Amino acid sequence: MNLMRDISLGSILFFSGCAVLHSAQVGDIDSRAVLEGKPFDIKLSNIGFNVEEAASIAAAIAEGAGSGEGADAISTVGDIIELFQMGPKTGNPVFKVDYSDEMSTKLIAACPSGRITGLMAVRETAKYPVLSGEIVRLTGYCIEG
Amino acid sequence: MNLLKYLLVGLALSLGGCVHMASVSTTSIPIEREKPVEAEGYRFIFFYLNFDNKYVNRLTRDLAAECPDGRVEGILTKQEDIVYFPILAHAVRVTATGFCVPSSEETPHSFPEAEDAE
Repeated sequence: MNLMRDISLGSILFFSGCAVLHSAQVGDIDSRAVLEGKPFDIKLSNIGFNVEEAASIAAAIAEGAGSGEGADAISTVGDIIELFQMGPKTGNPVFKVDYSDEMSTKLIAACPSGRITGLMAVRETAKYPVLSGEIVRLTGYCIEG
Repeated sequence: MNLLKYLLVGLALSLGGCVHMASVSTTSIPIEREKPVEAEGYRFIFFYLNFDNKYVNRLTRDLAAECPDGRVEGILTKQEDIVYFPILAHAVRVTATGFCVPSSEETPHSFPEAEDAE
């Protein structure tokens, strides 16, 4: 019964990712275009990886399997990797650094006329255990024609 | 002595609410600044559980609604992370303030006509 409860609780925590807002920025607005124009929403994302959490889980598993030395080694490796990932940042590190570069291409595709107003840039993270979705989102309004 | 200790810990926990500035940005400030407008997105977060950030999506529309016949310029967007009580009670507040400027010939609506004139 206890195992069932633990599994249920673990599943809830694992699958219910939390959304973290890092920054939001609103650009100048042409009100008539916003109230009558065509809205668009562009989202670019990449998978983030939390080394600290991964090392903690791996160390706990090693500890549980009776390998105290293994747990220490994993923990040390995790700490060393963490040292190389210090500094100002939002969210978790990603493996593709230029994932947000195609934003301008997507923006032109969403609004071919190029007359855009009410542009809002949002940086957010969809956080799950160990992994995360590192998201850059642009919403705005396009004046067609 | 114990009572005093608990009282101090209780006070520290309950009065220790903090507001952190997460991000701030601004656009060019217009010359005409007679009519300020403001919109706010707010989300109370219990036990770090927040499943989406949709509350910021309506900021643009709310600002536009406050200035239906003009342009909103000089928009200062500010995001604050609030701690009401450690671990249990948090909030995120995004405030956008700007100035309503009456529409002029230079609005994007007038671009096609301007191009035609050329």
